[in-house]
Amino acid sequence: MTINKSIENNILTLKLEGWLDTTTSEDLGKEIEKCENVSSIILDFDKLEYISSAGLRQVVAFSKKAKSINADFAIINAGFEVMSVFQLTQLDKKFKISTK
Amino acid sequence: MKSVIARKTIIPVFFLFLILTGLLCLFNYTYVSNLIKGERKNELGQISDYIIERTEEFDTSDDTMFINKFNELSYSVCSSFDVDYICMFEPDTEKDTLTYKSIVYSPSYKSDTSGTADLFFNGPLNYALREEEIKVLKGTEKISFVTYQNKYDISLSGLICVELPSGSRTLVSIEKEFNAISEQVNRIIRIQAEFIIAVFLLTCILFYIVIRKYVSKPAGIVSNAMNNFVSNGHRNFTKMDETGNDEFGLINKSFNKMAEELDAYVENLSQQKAEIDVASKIQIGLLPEEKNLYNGCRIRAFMKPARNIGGDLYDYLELDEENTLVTIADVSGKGVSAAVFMAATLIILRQFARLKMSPQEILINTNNELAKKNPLMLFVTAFVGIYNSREKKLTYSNAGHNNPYLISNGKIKTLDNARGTVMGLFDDEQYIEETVNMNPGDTLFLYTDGVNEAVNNNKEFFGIDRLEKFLSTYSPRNGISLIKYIANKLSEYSNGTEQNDDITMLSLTAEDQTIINLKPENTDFNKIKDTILSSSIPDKFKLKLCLAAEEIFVNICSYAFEKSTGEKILTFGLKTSDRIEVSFEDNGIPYNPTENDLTDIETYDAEEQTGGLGKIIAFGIADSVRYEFKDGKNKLKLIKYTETE
Repeated sequence: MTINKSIENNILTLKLEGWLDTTTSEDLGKEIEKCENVSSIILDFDKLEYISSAGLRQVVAFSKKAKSINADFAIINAGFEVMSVFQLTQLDKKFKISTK
Repeated sequence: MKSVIARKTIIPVFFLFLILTGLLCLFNYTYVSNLIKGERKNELGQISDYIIERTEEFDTSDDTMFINKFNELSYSVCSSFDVDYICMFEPDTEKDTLTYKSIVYSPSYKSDTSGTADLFFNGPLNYALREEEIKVLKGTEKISFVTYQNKYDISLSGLICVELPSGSRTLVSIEKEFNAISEQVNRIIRIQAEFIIAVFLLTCILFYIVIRKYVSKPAGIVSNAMNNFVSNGHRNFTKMDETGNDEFGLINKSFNKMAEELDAYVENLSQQKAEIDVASKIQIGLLPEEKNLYNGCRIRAFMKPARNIGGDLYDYLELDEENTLVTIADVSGKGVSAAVFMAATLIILRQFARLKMSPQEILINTNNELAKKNPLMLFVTAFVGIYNSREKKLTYSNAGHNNPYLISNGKIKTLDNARGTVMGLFDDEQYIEETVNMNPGDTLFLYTDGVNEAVNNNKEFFGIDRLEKFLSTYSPRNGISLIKYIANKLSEYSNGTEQNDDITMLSLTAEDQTIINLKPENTDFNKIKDTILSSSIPDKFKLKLCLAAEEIFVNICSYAFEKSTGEKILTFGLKTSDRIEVSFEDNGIPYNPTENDLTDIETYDAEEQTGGLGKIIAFGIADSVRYEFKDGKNKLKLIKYTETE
């Protein structure tokens, strides 16, 4: 998985690409630790093919981090496969998610 | 004990006789009464003749004198002729009255007459003359007989006409009581009847006892013996008494003989049955056991012999790592001969198959062997197929057997080529073979004609059309194998009707299976991922199955080996056939994930309880989850059906 990070106008955008699974979820975890002084956090799932519960846990952790620094948190461009995992776990109700 | 015969014969006879006796008595009574009446009339006639004779001798012209003399005459007649009484009265035919002139009773006459005698002379009494009386009065008849019934008795009266000196015509009635006679007659007849009835009743009772003893009782004993003989299961039969020299003695003797022969016959039969059972066990023992055979395919077989021992056979054999043999055959005829021939065929076929021959060669060689020694000219139809799991191809040859079916994605195709004649009849018969592709999930279905010729209560065949319908509607989602599904349909159809032929079926489903060994480390998920992505399963299922596999794998890595010190064994299996099976085996802590209730999705807070997410995802993707702890291993299997619902 690769993560393309960009900060613009205090908005942190993380473009995830590939598989967010048990072997790669730590990469996202590291980004959570680094994240500071932003007003919004956006996860762009446009090129994310796959997400497992390990990935979901990092997404949840990220949303909690956002809350702790009073930043907005949103997910954009979720594909069908990824979205279905959010739906399966009811997490789609917890986040602002926009689909492709 | 029942005495039906005795009751049925004697009671009607008794009543019939009672009626006959009654009729006889009635006849006797009438006959005797008339006889006595005639005699009495004669007697009265003679008396009246005598009275007429004597009155003519009365030499007087005075009526009173005449009557006095008549009284004297009457008295002497009463005394000497045993007449009850004699009376003289003068009827007045115009006024319908009569006046008594004289009445004399016999001294022995028992009636109380003192009062009535006065009454008679008190003046004219109203009385209309009877026809007989008028005839006598007019002189048309000299004497007439009348039966009177007064309040005392019945009496017979002889009537004559006597003319008084004054010229008035009087009637003289000479009466004799009749009661005494009829009573006497009655008594005699009653005694007779009673006697006859008593004698007959006694006879009947005797007859009843005799029938009961000599017919009903022995018949009951014979009947009991027969009943017990059957219900005892032909054992512990006590012999019947043969000593009697009557018909029952003969029956008992015959029965004993029959029972002994039957006993011996049944014994012989059960011995034969036991031998057939053993033969049947040997025969069934020759067939491969149904088991999970993995050689790139899954095999299921079913056989239901019509009798204990049958002529159908099926066989399957792993020839090497990639080739699997399947055979189905049906020997002509039934019973022991067919079974022996079947066993020979099975062994010969199997031996040639082990020599790595192709289906064509197997049939040619088996036919030659069978045809060499086949005095009874039995023959066998057979289908031989070899599935190669590497090439995913089935090579087959058919010796006059029912065309099998190849089921692919719910579509059925008849394998109706590569056909030759039946085996066992002709030497050097040639057989050909064909090859067909079989992809994972495709199923070869073999059967014998016992399937399509299974009958229902109306003796109607199950038929090819119905078989094809069920083959195409089968879905692995039913949770039972295709073979079991068809067997159930057959059983529903026949509904207990006894089948004439063996029912045999065999299915081979092509499978793709990969098993890899893993270390319980998260990075090994990549091996699972690569296996699934490079497998032959449809693309649309790949990501979902990766996800399910990852969740299970991560759970096993996290928890299974917490306390483990020895070698950690963890394998991942992926099997593709008419369904996809993802399986994990590990020797960690026994843990059944299907036992713990899934977290309730409604109240579940995914943000807080992230630990339960994995199971929700994995079980949400799988159509069914199976777990067992066996051979020291947790064995978890997730099943996903590939066909659309």
